[in-house]
Amino acid sequence: MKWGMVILSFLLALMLYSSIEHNEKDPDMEYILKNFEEFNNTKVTFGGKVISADNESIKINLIEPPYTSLIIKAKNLSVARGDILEITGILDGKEHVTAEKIIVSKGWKYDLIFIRSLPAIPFALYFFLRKWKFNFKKFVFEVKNA
Amino acid sequence: MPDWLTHTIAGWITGKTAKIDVSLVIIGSLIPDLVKIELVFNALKINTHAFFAPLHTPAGSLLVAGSIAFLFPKVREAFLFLSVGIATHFILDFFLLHTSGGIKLLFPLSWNEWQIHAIRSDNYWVTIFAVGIALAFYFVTKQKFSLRWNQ
Repeated sequence: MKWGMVILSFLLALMLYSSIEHNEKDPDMEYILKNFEEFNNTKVTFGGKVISADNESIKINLIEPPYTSLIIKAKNLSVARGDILEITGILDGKEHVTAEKIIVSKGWKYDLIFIRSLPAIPFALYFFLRKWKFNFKKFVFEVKNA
Repeated sequence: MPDWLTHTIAGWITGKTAKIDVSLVIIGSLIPDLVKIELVFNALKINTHAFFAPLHTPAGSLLVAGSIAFLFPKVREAFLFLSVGIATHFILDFFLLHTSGGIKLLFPLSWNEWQIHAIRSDNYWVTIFAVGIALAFYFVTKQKFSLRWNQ
């Protein structure tokens, strides 16, 4: 158990290291948009939900913090309100990105990823609880009927 | 990510084929997606991505497995089986299509990301295929077992 706590400490250290270095090494959209001047005309990747679209541009809401709106320049892309986009492009305005690559997921297809994940929870619990029970006195899992 | 059902099925088939503890392999196959805890914080408008992101790296997942393994009587065995599950998770995720980026395989030594960019994450045919394979695998192994039992 003592070694378990040591390993857990390493994990926490790893997560703290990531927290400290993330903005420098792999900044997310919240940091990028807050520090727009630093990232102007650089390549960014993010996800968003379509609010409206025409032949020249698409307005999206970010599906990650800070959840604000961006205008994406992308010509003749067939999207509908509610579709989920993954976009890589050049940030060339405070709320404007010229898309280089876009992956379009229909809204229902995106939601289906989460819905079809749900059966995995009872599936995993069934196999686990069929074999293991937790002994609270020893604070360890034991094989059932061993 | 492929959905969790595909991940758990891959863990189940791997555990059954290798004749190791299926329950721990399945749990291991879900460990990297502990990173999804951040969705709860996202709903509360708290950005925790930078903190939880290491959970979806091999190093972070193995550390989680190491911590969990100490809750089992045979620590090394438990760690090994959880690690097999983690490996199946990253192998499946490695094939996902993204516009850029991928998995930080060497984190914290490197922040570089790798990906094969082959299968879209919203492709439900992967799940249908996995369920089909699992059913075929179940009936084949059941038949083998009953044949052996009858001999």
